[in-house]
Amino acid sequence: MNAILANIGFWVLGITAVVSALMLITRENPVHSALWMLLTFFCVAGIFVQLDAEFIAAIHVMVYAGAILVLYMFVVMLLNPKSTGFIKMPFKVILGAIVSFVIFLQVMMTLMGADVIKTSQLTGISDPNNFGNIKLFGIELFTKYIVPFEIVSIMLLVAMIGAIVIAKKD
Amino acid sequence: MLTLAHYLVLSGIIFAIGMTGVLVRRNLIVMFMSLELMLNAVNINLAAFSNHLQSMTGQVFIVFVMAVAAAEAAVGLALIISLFRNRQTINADEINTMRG
Amino acid sequence: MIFAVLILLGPLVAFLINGLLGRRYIKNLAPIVAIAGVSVSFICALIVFYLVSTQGFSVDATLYTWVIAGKLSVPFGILVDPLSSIMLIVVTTISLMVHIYSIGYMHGDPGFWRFFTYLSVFTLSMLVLVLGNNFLMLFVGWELVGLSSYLLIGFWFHKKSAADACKKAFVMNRIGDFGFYVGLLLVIVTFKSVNYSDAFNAEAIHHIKEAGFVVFGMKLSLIDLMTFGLFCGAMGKSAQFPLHTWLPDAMEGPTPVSALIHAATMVTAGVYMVARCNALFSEAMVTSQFIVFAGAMTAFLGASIGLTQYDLKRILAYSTVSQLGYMIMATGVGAYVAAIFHLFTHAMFKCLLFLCSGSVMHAMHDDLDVRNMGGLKKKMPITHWTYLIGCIAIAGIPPLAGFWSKDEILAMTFASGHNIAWFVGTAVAGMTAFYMFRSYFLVFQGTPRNQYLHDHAHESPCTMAGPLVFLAFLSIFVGMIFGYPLEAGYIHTFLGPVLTPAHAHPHHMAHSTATMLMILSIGVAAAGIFVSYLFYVKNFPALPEKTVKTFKPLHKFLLNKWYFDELYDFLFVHPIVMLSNILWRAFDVNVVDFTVNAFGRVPMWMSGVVRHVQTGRMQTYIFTIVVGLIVLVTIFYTV
Repeated sequence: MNAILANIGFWVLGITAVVSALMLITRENPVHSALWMLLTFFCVAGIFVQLDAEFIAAIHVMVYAGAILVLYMFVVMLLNPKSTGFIKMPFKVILGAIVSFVIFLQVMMTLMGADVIKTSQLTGISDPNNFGNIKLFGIELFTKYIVPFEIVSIMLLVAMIGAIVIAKKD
Repeated sequence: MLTLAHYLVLSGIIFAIGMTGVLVRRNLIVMFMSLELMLNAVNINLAAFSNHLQSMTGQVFIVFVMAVAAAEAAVGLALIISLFRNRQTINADEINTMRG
Repeated sequence: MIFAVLILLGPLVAFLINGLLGRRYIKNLAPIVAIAGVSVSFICALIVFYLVSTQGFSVDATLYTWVIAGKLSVPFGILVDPLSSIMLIVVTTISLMVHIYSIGYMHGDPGFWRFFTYLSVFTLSMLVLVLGNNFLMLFVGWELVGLSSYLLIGFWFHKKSAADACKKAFVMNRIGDFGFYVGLLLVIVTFKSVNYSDAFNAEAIHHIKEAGFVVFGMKLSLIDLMTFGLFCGAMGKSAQFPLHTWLPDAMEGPTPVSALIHAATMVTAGVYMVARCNALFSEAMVTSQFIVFAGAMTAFLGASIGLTQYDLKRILAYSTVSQLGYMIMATGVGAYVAAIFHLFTHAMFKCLLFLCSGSVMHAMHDDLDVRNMGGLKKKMPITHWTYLIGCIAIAGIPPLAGFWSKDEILAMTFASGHNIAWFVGTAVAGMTAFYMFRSYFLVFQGTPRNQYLHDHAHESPCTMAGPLVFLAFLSIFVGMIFGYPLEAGYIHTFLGPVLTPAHAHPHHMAHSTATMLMILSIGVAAAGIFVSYLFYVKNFPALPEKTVKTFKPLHKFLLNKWYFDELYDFLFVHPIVMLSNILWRAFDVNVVDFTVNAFGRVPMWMSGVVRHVQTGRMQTYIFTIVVGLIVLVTIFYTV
C-alpha cells in the first residue's frame, strides 16, 4: 500500500515537474515562466520528501519559492522587458535542443552501465523516533562540515555586498 | 518498486530541459531560471544518492548548492539590472560587444 | 701619484654632481661646483709640474686593469712625464679661465647648469687623453673630447646652424678617426700591446723597421702605414687640410667653448698625439713628408682665408687653423719641442683672443661682423688692451709669447731643409700679422660704423675681464720664461728627454743663420702689421675697396673659403644624397617596406578569418562548452 502510494506520488510529481519545466522554458512572458518555475519547485520539494529529506524539502520551498522566486519576480517587474522568445535563429534552437538531448543520452548510458543503480531499493534513512533525520543532518552539518558551512556564510555575505555594489546607481 | 534509477532519470530529464532553456532562450532572466532548474536537477541527484548510501553528506551538499544558487541569483540579477540600465536590453543575443 | 689621480677626480666629481643634480637642485650654483672641480685639477697640475720640473718626478702606473683578452691587457694607467705635465698645465689653466669667464658670459642662459656639466666632461676627457699611459686611453679620451665638442658646439641646438655645425664636426672627425682606428689596430697588432712603453721601445721599433708593403706602387714601411693612420686622426681632430672645414663652423658654439675647445685644447690633441708618438713618427719618412705638406698647406690655407673674412670669430678660427698647421708642420720636420712649445703659447694667446671676441660680442649684442664695429677702444679699455696683446703675441713680435715658439718652428723647418715649407711658413707669418691687426684695427680703432651698437657697447663684468687680464699676462711672459734663449730655452731642457727620439737627426745651423732668420721673421711680421695699418687706418676705406676691386676673383675665392664646402658637397654629399634617394624609392619602399608590411598583413588576414569564432554572444560560448563536454565524455567512454 505504502509502496503503491509512493509509486503514484513519484510519477505524479515527476511528470508534473517535467511538464512544468518544459512550460518554463517555452513561455514568452517571463512572468509565466516564473509561475511555472514555482510549480516545478513544489514538485521537486515533494520528491525530496519522498527521498526522506524533509528538512531539505522545507528549506527548498522557503529559499527557492519564498526568496529566489520573489527576487526573480521583482526583477521582471522592475525591468519590464519586452516580449522575448527564443533566440532569433531556429537552426540554433534545434541545435541547442539536440546537444541537450545528447547530454541526457550520455547520462542515461552511464546509468545503464551500472547495475547497482537499476536494482537498488531505496530503503530510506529516516529515523521515526527523532523527527525524521533532522538531528543526523544537523550533527553532520555542524561537526564534519562546519568549516565549509562558515565559508558558505562568508560567500553569501560577499554575494550580498557584491549585488548591492553592482546594482546601485553610481 | 522505486529504484535509484527512477530519480536519476528524472533529474537527468530536468537537467536536459534546463540546459536547453539556457541555450535557446533570449531573455537573460529566463536563462537564469533555467539555470536554477539545472541546479535543482543536481539536488535531486544528491538527495537520491544520500538515500541510497544511507549518508547525510548528500543533504548537506544540497544546502551548499542552495546557498550557491541564492548567491548566484542575487549577483546575477544585480548584473542584469546594471546591464539593463546601461544597454536598455536584457536580450542575450544583443549583448555582443566582445564580438571579434 | 695621488695628485695625478686627483687631477682626474676633480672634473669627474663636478661632472657627476652637476649632471645628476644640476637640473633640479643646483641650477645657478653649477659654476661653483664646476670651478671647484677644475681648481682641484689646476692646483694638482701645478704641483705635478713643479715635481716634474724640479725632481724629475715621473709616473707610469696601472691603476686598474680594464680588459684582459688573451695576451692583450688594457690597463687603466696614468703616465706623468714632462710632456703630459706641460699639457696638464695648458688644459687646466685654460679650462679654469674659461670656467670663470663663462659665469659672466653664459649668465642668464636657460642651459646654465648644462653648460658647466659639459665643460666638466670636456676637461675630464681632455685630461684622460693627456694622462693615459696607453693607446686605448688616448683613444677613449680622443672620442670623449669629440663627444663633448659635439655637445658644446650644438649647445644652442635650437639654432639650425649650430645643430648643423655640430653634426659636421662629428662627421669630419669620424673620417679622420677611421684612419686613427686603423693606425691603432696596426700598432696593437704589431707591438702586441697597447702600452706606450712597449710601442716606443727603441728595440721593438728597430725590429719592425724593415717590414713594409707596396701600396699603389709605392713602397711603404709598416711604420709609415701606422703613423699615417694615426695622423689621419690628427688631421680630423686638429683640423688639418683637407678635413679642416669643420673648425670654422664650430664657432656656432658659445664663445667660451670656442676658446677652450676649438682654439686652445682639443684641436691641439692631434699635435699632442703626434708628439707623444714621436718615436714612431720620426722613423716614418714618407708620413713625415706628408705631415709637412699637410701642415704647410693648412697654415697657408687658413691664413689666406683669414685675410678676407668679416666675422670676428671666423677670422680667429681660420687663424687657429693656420697656427695648427704650423704645429703640425713642426712635428713633420721633427721639431717636436717647438711644436709643443707653440701649442703651449698658442693656447694662451688664442684663448685670450677668443675670450676678447666673446667680450666684444657681448658688448655688441651678439653681432660679430667687423664691418659694424670700430672705435671700441674707449668703450672697452680692458678688452682693447688684452686683444692688442694677443694680436702682438700671435703676430710674432718679441718679446711676447708667439715670437719665441713661431720663430723656433720656422728655424727648425729651415734647418731641416724643407725650404718650401719654410718659405710658406714665413709668408704665413706675415699674413697672420696682417689679418690679426686688420681685425684689431677694424674693431677697436677708427670711427664707429654702427652708431646704435656703439652707443650700447660696454665693458664686460669682472668675471669676464679677470681671465682676460690673467691670460694677457701669460701671453706676454710665458714665451720669454720658457723660450729664452732661442733654440736652447728652458722648454728644451724640460721636454728634450721625452721628445728627442733615439734616432733623431739633429739639425744644427750656424748662429748667424739663426739670427738672420729671426730678424727676417720679425721683419715680415712688422711688415704685415704696417701694411695692415696702411690699409685699415691710414687709407680706410679707400685702399681695401680698391684692392678688392682689383683682385675681385681672388677675393671672392678666399671669401668663400676656397669653395671647400661646395667642393665636398659636390663630391660627396650630392652623390650620397642621390644614391640614398634611389635606394629609398627603389629598394626601401618596394622591398623592405613590402616585407615589413607583409609581416603585418598576413596575421591580419589570418585573424580576420579566425575572429568570426568570437561572436560575442554568450550562448555560442555555452554551446561550445557543452559540445566540448560531449566530446570529453565520448572520449571517456570509447577509450
